[in-house]
Amino acid sequence: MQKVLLLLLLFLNLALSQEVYRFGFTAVVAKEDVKSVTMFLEYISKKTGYRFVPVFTKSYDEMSYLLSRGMVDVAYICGAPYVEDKDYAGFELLVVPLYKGKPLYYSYVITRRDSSYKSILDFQGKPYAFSDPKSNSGSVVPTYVLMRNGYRPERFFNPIVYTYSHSESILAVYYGFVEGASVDSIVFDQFAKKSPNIVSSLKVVEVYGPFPITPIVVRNQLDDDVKYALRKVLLSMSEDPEGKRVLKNLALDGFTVVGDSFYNPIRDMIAFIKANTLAYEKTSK
Amino acid sequence: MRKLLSRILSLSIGTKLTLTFITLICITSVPLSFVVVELSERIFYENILKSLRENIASEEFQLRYYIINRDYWSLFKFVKGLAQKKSVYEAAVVDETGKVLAHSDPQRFPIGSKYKVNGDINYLIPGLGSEVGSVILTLDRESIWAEFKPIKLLLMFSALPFTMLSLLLGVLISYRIKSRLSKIRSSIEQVRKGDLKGLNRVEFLEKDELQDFSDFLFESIEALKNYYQNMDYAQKFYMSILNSINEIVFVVDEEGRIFYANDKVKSLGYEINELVGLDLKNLIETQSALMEGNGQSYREVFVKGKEKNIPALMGIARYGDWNVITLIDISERKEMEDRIRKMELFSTLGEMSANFAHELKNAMLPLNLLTPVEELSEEDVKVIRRSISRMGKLVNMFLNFARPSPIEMVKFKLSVMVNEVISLVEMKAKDKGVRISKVVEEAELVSSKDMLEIILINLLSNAIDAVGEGGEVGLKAYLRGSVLHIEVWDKGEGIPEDKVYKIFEPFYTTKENGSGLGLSIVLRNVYLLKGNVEVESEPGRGSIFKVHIPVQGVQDEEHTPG
Repeated sequence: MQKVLLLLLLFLNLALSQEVYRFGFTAVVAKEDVKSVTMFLEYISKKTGYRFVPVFTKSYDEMSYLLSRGMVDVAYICGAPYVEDKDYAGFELLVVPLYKGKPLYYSYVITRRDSSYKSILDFQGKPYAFSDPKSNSGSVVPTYVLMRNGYRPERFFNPIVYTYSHSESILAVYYGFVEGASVDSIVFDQFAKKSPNIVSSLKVVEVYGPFPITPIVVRNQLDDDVKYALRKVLLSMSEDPEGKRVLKNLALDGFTVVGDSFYNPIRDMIAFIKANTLAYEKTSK
Repeated sequence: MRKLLSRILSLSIGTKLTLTFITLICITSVPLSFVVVELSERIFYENILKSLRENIASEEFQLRYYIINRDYWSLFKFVKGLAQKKSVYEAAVVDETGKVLAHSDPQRFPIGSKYKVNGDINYLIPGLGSEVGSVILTLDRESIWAEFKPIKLLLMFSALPFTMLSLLLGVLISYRIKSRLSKIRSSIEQVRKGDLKGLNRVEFLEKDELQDFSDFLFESIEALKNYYQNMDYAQKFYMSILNSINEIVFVVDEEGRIFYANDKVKSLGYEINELVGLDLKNLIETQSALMEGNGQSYREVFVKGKEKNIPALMGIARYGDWNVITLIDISERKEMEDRIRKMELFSTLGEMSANFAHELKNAMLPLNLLTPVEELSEEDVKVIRRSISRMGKLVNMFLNFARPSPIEMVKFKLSVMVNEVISLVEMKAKDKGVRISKVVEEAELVSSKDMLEIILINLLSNAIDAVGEGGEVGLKAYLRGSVLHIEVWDKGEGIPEDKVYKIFEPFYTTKENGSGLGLSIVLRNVYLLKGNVEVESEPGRGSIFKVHIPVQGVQDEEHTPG
C-alpha cells in the first residue's frame, strides 16, 4: 500500500516536472529524414529527462525570430545565421557536431553528371540554386566566391532559385530545373547514402571550405540546468552505443564545444560581401 | 443487283434468318456504338480537362503566392507534379508577359524563356485587377487515348456478343425449322410410297404455324385417303357392273383407238391388254363410217373375233372426247330370223300350194266341163285355150315363186334402175291417167338389181291399180348409211285395217284380174335381200309401202328431179 502510494507520487512528480522544450531544425538537416530527427529527440529526452519536441521552419530567419521570442529553446542552425543573428535574437553556442571527426564541413558546387561545368563561374546566365539566403554553404560561400571574382550573384545567375533546403537544391539539379547548386557537404553525403540513384547522376565540380560546422544553439535565457543537461548528454553521446546509432543516422560522429571566434571565417566572408555590396551600389550610381 | 437479290432470296431459311439478325444488329448497334464511343471519348476528354482545371484551382492561392514571390522551386515542384500525370504532356507556369517561371521540361524551357505554346488548358492566375501569370498545360492526347482505348474497345465490341448470339439463334431456329420440315416431309414420303397407313400426325414442342401446317397437311392427306378409298370402291363397283353386263363395251378416243374394253371381249377370244391402243376399225366391219350415228341408233356390224366373226348391234355414246361403243351379240337372233324367214317362206309355199291348187282347179274347170263335148265350137276352143294359157301362167308363176333364183349382186345407179321400172309401168299409168311422181337420190349401190326391179314394179303397179282415174302415185328412193329405203305411195282407197295383215298372202287379191301374188313376191324378194317391209295405210286417203334393204353403196348428192 505504501509502495503504491510512493509510485503514484513519483509519477505525479515526473508528470509535473515534464516541461516541454522545443528543438528547432532548419535546412542543416534533411527535414524529410523525420525518423532520424525523432530518434535523436527521443534519445536526448530520455537521457536528459526533459521532453523535447521538434519545430521546423522554412528559413533561418524564421528560426532566429522564434529563438528571439522564446518559441524555440534549442536549434540546430547554420554558421552564417549564428554569426548574423546571435546578438539580436539572443542565443549562444551549445555544442557543434563532429563530421568525420572534425567540426568542419564544405560547400559543394554540384551539377548533373553529363554536364560540362567545371566551376561555379561556368554557370553564368544559368538558373542556379541557393538554399536559404542566409545559409553559409548554400548562399554566403557562392556569393563570396562570385564577388571575389567581381560578380554579383543575382545578376550572374538567371535566376537564383531559392529552395530553402539543401536536399531540394539537389533535386532541382537532378530534375534539370537549375544547372547547378551550392549545397552543404554533410547533407549531400547524407543524401548520397539515402538516395544513391539520384546522386549517382550528379557530380561535385567544386568544393569550398572547410568552414565551421553548423552549430546547435540555445536561447540565452534557457534554464542553465537544461543547458547543462543537454550539453552533457550531447557531448557524451559518442561514447554511448545507443547514442552512436542515433549519430550514425545523422551522419555525425559526435559533438564538441567551440568558442565564438571559431566562426570568424564566416564573419569575415559576410563582412566582405556587405562591404562590396555597398561598393557596387556606389559604382552603379 | 437482281441476280444478287434472287440469290439472297434463294438462300436457306437459316441463312436468311441469321443474316437478318446480323443486319439488324449491325444497323442498330454499329451507329449506336459509334455515337457512344464518340460521346464517351468527348466526355472522357472533358473530364480530364475538368479534373486538371480543378487541380490547378485548388492550388490557386499557393500559385499566386509563388508567382508573386518568384518562388521558382515551388512552382517547378507544382508543374513537375502536374506533368507526372499521364494525361499531361507538359506543364508550365508563365508570368504575365508569357515568360517561363517553371516548366516541367526545364531543359527545353528554362526559366525566363518565352513560352508561345497555347496549350490545352490556359489557367489564368488572377491577382488584383490583372493576372499575375498563368498555368499552361499541354495534354498528352496519345496517352489519353491509350487510357481510353480499353473502354473504346469494350464499347465497340459490346455488339459482338449480341452478333454472335444472334448468329447462334439464327442457326438454332433454322436448324429447328429444317429438322421439323424434314420430319413432315418424311411422314409424307411414306404416303407417297403408297403406305397410306404409315401416315402419322407429327407433333412438335412448338405449337406454331409449322405445327398448323403439319396438321393441315395431315388432315388433307387423311381426306385424300378417304376420297381415294371411295374412288377405289367406286371404280371397282363400276368395273364390276361393266363386266357383268352382256354388251361388249369399248371406250375409244376421237381417233378410234381403244382405251378401255370390258371383260366381255374375252368372248371374242381377246385379252383386254392386247386390245388397248388398237384401232377399233381393225375389229369392226361396217358398211358406213364407223363413228356415224349416235347413241340413240343401233346398227348392225360385224365384229372380228379371233376365231369367228359375229354380227352385232353397235351403239355409240359420246362422252366428251370419248366414244363409248357398245356391241350386242346378235348372232343368235340372226339365226332365229333366218329360221323364221325360212319358215315364213315354207308357210307361204304351203299357202301358195293350196291356193295354187284351188286356182288350178278353177282354171281346169272349163276343161272339165268341155271334156264330154265331142264337137268343140270355136268358142269352146277359145275357152280351152284360155284355160290352158291360164294354167300355164299359173304353173310358171308358181315355179318362179317357189324356186329361188340365185341372187346376183351388181353395181348400178339407183336412178337408172328406178327410171327403167317407171318406163315399164308408164303405159299402164297413162291409160288410167295416173301421174307418177318420184324422188330419187343419185347414188350408186351394190345389190340384186333384178330383185329390186321386181319389188318396185309390183309396188308401183299395185299403187296404180289402187288409185282411180287421174289419181296420183309416187316413189321415193334413197340411201341412208348402208340401207336402201324405197317408199311407194298412192292416194287410193287405202286398205281396211282388218285386211292389212292379209295383203302379203299369195293369191290374195281384191282386184278382178289380180294374181294375188304381187305383194307375196315383193315380200319374198325383200326377205331374200335380208330387208323388211312396212305398210302404213289410212282408209280413204291412201297407203304407203316402205321397204328397207341393206346394201353396199356410196351415197351421192341428193337431187330431186321435177
